[in-house]
Amino acid sequence: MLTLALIALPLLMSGAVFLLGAKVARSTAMATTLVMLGLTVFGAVQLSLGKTELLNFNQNWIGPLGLHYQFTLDGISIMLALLSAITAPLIVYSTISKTFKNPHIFYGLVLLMLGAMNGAFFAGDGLMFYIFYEVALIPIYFLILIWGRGEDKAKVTFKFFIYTIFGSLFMLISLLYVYQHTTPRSFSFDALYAAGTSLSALEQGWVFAGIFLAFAVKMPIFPFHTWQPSTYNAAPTAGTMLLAAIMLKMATFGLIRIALPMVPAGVAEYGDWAIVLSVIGIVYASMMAIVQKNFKLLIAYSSIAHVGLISAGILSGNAQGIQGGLFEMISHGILSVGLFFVYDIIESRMGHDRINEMGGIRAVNPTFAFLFFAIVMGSVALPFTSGFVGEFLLLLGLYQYSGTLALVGGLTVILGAVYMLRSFQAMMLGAENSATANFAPLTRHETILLAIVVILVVGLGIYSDPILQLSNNAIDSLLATTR
Amino acid sequence: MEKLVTLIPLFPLVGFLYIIFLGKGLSKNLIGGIGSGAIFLSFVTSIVVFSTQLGGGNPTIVKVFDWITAGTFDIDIAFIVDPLSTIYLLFITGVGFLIHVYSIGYMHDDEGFNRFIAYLNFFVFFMLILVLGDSYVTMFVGWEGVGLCSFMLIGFWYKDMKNNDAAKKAFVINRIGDLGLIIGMCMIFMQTGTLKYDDLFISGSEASSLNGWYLHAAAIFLFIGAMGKSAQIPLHTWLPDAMAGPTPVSALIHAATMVTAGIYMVARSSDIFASSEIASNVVVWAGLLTAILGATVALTQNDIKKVLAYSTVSQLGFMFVALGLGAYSIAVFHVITHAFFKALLFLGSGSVIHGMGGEQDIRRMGGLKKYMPTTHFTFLIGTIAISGIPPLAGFFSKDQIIAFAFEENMLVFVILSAASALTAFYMFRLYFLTFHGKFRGTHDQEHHLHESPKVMTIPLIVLAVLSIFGGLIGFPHALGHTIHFHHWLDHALEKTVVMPFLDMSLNMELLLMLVATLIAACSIYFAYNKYVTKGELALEDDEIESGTHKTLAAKYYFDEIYDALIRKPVDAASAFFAKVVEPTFIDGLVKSVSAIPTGLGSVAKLAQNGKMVMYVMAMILGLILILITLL
Repeated sequence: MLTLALIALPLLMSGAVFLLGAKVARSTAMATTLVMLGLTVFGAVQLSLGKTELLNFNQNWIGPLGLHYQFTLDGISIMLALLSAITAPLIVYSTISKTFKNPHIFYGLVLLMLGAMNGAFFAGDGLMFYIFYEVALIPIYFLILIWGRGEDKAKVTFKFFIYTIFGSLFMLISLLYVYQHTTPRSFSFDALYAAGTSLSALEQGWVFAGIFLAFAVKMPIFPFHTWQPSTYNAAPTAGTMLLAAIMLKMATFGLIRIALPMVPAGVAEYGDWAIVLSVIGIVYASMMAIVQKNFKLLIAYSSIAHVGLISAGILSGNAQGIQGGLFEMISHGILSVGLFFVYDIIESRMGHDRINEMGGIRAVNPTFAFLFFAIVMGSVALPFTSGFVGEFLLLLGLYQYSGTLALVGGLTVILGAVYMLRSFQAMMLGAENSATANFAPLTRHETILLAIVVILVVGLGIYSDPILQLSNNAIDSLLATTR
Repeated sequence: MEKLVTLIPLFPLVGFLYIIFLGKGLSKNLIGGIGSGAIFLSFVTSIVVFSTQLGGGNPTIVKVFDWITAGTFDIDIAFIVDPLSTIYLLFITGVGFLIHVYSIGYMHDDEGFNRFIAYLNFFVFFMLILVLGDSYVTMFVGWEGVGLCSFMLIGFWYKDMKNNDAAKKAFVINRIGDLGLIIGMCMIFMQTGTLKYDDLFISGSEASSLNGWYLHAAAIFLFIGAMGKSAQIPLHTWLPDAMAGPTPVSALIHAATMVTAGIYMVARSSDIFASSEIASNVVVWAGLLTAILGATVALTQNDIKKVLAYSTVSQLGFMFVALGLGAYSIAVFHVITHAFFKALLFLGSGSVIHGMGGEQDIRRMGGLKKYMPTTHFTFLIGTIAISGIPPLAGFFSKDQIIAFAFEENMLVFVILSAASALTAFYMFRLYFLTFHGKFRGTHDQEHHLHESPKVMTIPLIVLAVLSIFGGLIGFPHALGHTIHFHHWLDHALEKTVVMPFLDMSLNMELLLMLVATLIAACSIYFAYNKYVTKGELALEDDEIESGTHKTLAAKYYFDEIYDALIRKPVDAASAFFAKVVEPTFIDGLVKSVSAIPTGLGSVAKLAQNGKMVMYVMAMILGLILILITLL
């Protein structure tokens, strides 16, 4: 029931927001996301107490075809539920001083997207996952098209849309292929796992290729990433946050939920190319980030580097890699909200985000510099930030797969410091100058939002074990079935 | 009693948080008092905890909370109380306290005073975590944390971009080492299933399951981490630049404590290094190269802090030679004596800079002894101590390293002795040019010359006393046997690190001591003859003619070489990716693939809105696929 509520509530509220109109749109959206946060925390507590009756939902849909409404909140999806529940209120809160035209449509679409993404996270059924995965695309498409910026936003959005939707087709083909081997026919993950693992390793390899292609576009993984920087750049900041913080995690989550348990032999024996691409992407995107002149694009490329490591770690297929992947998803989500909000603060004051045309902001606004720096440290994975727990476990996982790849992927440790510190110093340090002397102080809500992000980043970095414990057992049993 | 250890890092953490969040509006003296008081409390607690280890107590693990669990990987925030960690505690908090007190005077007129004291507290917190952590991962928390504080303090005066560049350089080069350390940790974990010292070395002996090339590789990767943090060739170039930070920072972080973290880590891993001859040789030669490089460059530097920085690089090299030769406890011994005299020298140089109104060039100094008697006298003691003149602290620790080299490898012995001779020379060059002769600065500077306030000179005096007597804790075996003075440090450490074995007769050891002392004395004589008797001065930059001198003054062109070999190629490759590869190849490929469906779309001409066509088409295609399989 709880899972159903977490999907249905935002979907229903999105309809309500459309109808209630502009005035109450933001407050309704805010309230809805907070209720979802409460429900999710309640679910996490239930899960850690071992009470699962509220967490699973199963209702017949089209019986003869083996289609069910099946939603589960288990040790793996709880991590994504938490990610979505924590970041969603922050994302809504980040828009509080903005005025949108047609705000009821804007917030309605945001809620629609949240509902769809939760649907994908909780799906206990391959087709359900696919449908929600695709549905989530529609609201973000319109969010960018209507509220985005730049003259070429229509072109950019189009590319993004086509790219992801055709990527997804490969996943659908893979899922349907496995479905045909289920007896009796069923799309439930349990049935798909059983059918998938009984395929030959080569067949599994092909199925995996289709699935990975779809996810590689979504995350994105090198060389399927070219839609991402321009899309992030064109999207309104809240939209970029939704994309980076939550939406791409449907893909990394899918690797754990679908690829690993359904075609383990395919990943293990024919998955090398996927890990290699992921690792190449870490280095490639980091180097791209080094030469970016705009802060938003820099964050976009840094995100590609981070998800590359997440993907490589998960596909390594051991407890540390998967656990690190799940934790890094939460960490990356929170940090993305923080970084894009920092971008928003700067852009709204300077009118641009060109890194080399600022400088001296710290001298004018030390509080902002302090909070920004803490987020930078999270992003470069300093211990006692959430970034470290994720990144270290991922590298540890990847190392067990291949030492060489871990060494190459580990270059993110160095390159990440280069591009993050370079941009931080260029924008914030140095003497104040005519461009930045009038940099307005943070408003109350900006300070609060950044402070919450910093508290979460540091808090999760120190108090990480309770979160990790939520998924430990689920990962153990997942690994047990893949062996 | 051991449980008290939790308090030791807690005091400076609370100090940091208090000053940062509640320190606004408090007087500078109060802030200074809170900052140094926090370290003093840690120092007192450290003494109590240390006393539990005096009788050769057993290592104790004090767990604070669970931190990371993933499968079989399990790391707690927990502290290890054993002789190695508690000895480090003592000098970190002891020397740290003195430097905090000194900073109250040194930074008194700086607008960032509160921030400075807070950062120092934060640094000490992480340094304590580094030595107290009960596993490599917990150590790594401190390891990265001190790097962060080092970054913040090098770039303390952030309005000057030069300082920020130095800070970034330190952080990035350290990260190269950190990646090595991470890989080293991965290797150990994969082979032994644990990263806790207790399982690896103490209660268990999992470290012994490291074998073959894996053992050597793991040790070398750990050492790469140590190279970054402890500024060994080729990762040494950040340390001299780090002098951009305020001088107490140079004393505390870039001389006495943080840069010795690499030595701590290798000593902590002595079981691993002792079983890998290959890795140990790498350590010896990296250390040796660094020792001689640092000493030669120090001969030609004219910035008082740069001389001391290269001296630190060189002395760290000595410590690594000791580690590589298997003399782990002696390396730790040199860490401690070096902390005393190098902190003293740096704080002394700070006092000089303070008196000179910010001037750091020794060509503009001279004759300071009559203006700054306390600074002069304590600086002289520091200079004698580092030069290896008995019975000051540096003599005992350095002499034992050289004695070891004599036993193990003649070539190492010769190079090390040469580096040692150079040390005495460049240090006395520095001393004579600064304190003797005629004053060479401006009239204004001469007018303002003054001795520093007591809050700065008293720490100098305490450190001078420690530099004189600190060597007694590691009194050599040879002399010890004859006058019944035990080598206390070896005794304390024997349960924690692999112990050195020196098979040398008493006469031989005494002879080596005599030779070492004579060499140092000769160097001092040469320096005296050159800079006092003949009154020679350091050359101005445009007077330098000899090629060797130019190379040394340019620090062997390391920065230029790295720029050409690493930085520029990476930048160029990145720019190439961004300008050519990404738009032409990767996106070009995408465009040509996407041209196919777009072409289909235009053929279909279903509507004016091409985007919606694509969307609908994709959906239909999907539906068809579903139907085909279902029916």
